[in-house]
Amino acid sequence: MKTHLLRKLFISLLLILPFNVLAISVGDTAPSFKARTIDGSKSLDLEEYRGKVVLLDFWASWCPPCLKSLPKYNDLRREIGTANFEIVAVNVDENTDDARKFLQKYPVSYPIAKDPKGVLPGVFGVKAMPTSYLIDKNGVVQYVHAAFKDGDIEKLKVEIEKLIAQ
Amino acid sequence: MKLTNLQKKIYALLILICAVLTSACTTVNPWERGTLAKPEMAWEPDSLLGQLQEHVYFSKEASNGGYGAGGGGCGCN
Repeated sequence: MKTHLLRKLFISLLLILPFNVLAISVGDTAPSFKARTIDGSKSLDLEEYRGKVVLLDFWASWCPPCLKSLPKYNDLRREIGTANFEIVAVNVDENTDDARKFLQKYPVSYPIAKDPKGVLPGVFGVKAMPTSYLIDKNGVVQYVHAAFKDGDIEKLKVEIEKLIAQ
Repeated sequence: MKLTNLQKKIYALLILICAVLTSACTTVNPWERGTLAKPEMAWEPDSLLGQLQEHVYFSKEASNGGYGAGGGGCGCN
């Protein structure tokens, strides 16, 4: 009888476990994905960037730190160059027009995918906005950066340069 | 009326199913807070006015606090 009770308790616990306990962390292979770009013109495939160090950034137009991070990431990309490095962004605005308006104000040169249903942040287990994943040339996550404050870009740059040198 | 063991098990299972299905709480994920981040959703739409009112309250009541946690709803603070 005790075993039955325990089994029931275990099953009910499994049912109420949040799915984001399976978040992607350092050492995990980044899940590959294909998504439409924000202008809807083409498909963006993370696999295309295998062999380069990739900074995968989840952002939204309503997220105040993204006001800071997007222009900084754009400058960083210009500084480092795109021979061995690329920034791939995923916009999670429910209304993609909000993101387009945001990008008219703060334009960036790197590719941006749209995910209005929020499937990809769920797959990656994003815990804060913005969150960026630094992925090495083999597709393995080497650094996870949540939120964005002044001075964070220098830390990220060091990590990116370390991975490019590998 | 005495319940048989099978009936007890069925009732226990039904209670368990109901408990799981009637759960009313849900977690709003960080990427789903676009609506919550809108200015009209803020407790205090005018932060300056809010601070002023807090100051008046503090001065009159000689007590402070209890205004909720900080943060814009984006999960980043």
